[in-house]
Amino acid sequence: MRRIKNVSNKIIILVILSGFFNLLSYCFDQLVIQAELKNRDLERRLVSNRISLETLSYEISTLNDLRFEIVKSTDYFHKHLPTNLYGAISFLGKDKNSEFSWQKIYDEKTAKKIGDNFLNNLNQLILDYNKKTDDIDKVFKSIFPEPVFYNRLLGKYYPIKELKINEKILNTFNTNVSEDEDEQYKRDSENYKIYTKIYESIREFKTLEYQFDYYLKRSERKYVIQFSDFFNFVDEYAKEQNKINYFILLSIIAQIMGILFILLLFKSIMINKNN
Amino acid sequence: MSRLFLLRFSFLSIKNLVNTKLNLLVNLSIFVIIFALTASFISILFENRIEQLETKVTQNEVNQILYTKWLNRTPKIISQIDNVYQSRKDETLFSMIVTGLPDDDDDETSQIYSMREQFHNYYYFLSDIAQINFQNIDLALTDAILLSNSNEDIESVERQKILFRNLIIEFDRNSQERLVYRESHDFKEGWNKTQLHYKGYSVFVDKKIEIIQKQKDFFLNFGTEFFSKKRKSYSNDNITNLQEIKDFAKLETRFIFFAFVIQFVIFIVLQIFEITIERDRKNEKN
Repeated sequence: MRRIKNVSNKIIILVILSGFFNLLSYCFDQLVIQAELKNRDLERRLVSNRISLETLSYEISTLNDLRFEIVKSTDYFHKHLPTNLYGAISFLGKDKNSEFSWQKIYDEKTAKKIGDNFLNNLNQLILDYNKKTDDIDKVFKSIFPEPVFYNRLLGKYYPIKELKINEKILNTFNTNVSEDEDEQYKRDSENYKIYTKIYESIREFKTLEYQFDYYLKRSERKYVIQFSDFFNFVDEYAKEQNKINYFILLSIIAQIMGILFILLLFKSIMINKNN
Repeated sequence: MSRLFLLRFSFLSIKNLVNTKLNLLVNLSIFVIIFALTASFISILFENRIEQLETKVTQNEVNQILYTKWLNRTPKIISQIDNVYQSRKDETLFSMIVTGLPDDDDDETSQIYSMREQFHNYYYFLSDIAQINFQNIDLALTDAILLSNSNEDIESVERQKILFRNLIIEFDRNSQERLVYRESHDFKEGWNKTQLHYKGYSVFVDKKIEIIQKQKDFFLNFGTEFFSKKRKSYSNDNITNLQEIKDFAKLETRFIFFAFVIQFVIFIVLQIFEITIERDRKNEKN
């Protein structure tokens, strides 16, 4: 009976408060654990978002460079094709009916040398062009996972490799001028066919620019959206970080309060005992 | 009897001593706890501010991706434009010698280096280059808007947007005039006349060069200046924020120490009071 009398209301309240704050501290601890788990996931996303934004930025730069490269190369090939082709025919073919002859300006050996040089350049142009298609293909594949790049032309799809020019195309190229008109007509037609084939391949090669433009616009849209998303995400990440700090501090405060009430309880019991 | 009394008295004195010491210990613990609570609240206040600054630092680091990209890319674009001019100059260096050769019937045209290659093809090449540059300008302006953090920035980007729009109008007008010019020529008129028609493209080529030059000026004046200004501004912001974080951390420590000193003084004063009251109470009892 005496023990029951010693347990005052104040002591009961202190016990309840101490228990309540210890429980609160446990709750905040649990919240910290859960927020930490979420934060780990957010951190992973923060790094991956940043990497993907940088990749996208790199993609855009590469696509721009590729477009520039296509334009520059096409201009180069289109410029060199007629010059070398006409140069080779003009210097190597001797038209007896023509009033003009290069041999009037250069000696025969030099004129042949110049003509051969034009022909070599023409051959080299085809090799360079084929190499360029490979280069573009490789660079493109380095940024896009698609295994084969297709070029859309008039609703049809071609693999980039199909844009290549047959390296033996100049085998039937004839620079000599025949006295027989029919024969010469055949030669001219064959030469023109070769010219057209090369010219068209280069023209098709240029259409890759539109394809890159399509990818570029797609990447740009994605880039702007991802960037604004990333900014929002950074805000969310910062809020989550704040939350963790608050939970930790609140847990500490709750623990301290719990201990404080235990001490007050202890003091209260002592005062009771002394009285 | 007196011995017993003395014994009882000494026992009471020990009990009293234990009680006093225990009381002091409990008070000391309460003091430590209140100090810890104060420190926690001060920490909450300071951590909140530090966290805000750290968020700003992270956001500035995100901006770094943008301005670094353009600070690397702008000189490359400028050099690409210069290369276009340079290769044209290289090309035309000996062109007079080639076009002057008597490879056809007149001196005005040349079959080896035709007007089509000189002007018509070059016009298209320049047109493509200008379009690529337009795309780059558009991208640069989008990134500039994303980086803008003041009215001054926004106004500067807006001014560039107007210039950009005017440049596109100029480009389109030039293309339109070129189309009209093309329509005016009958390609059945013969090779020589067609070559002379292509020579007329030189006017459009000059206009395209003028547009490309303005595009170059954009990258040279606005591109480099704006993005390097942003780099400087964000770097300075970061330095200031990091310094502020450091200062806050220092201030937090000082605040906690100051709170400790105040509480310690209060604790001592309270203990003096408690001991005095206890002594008075005992004296009254005795």
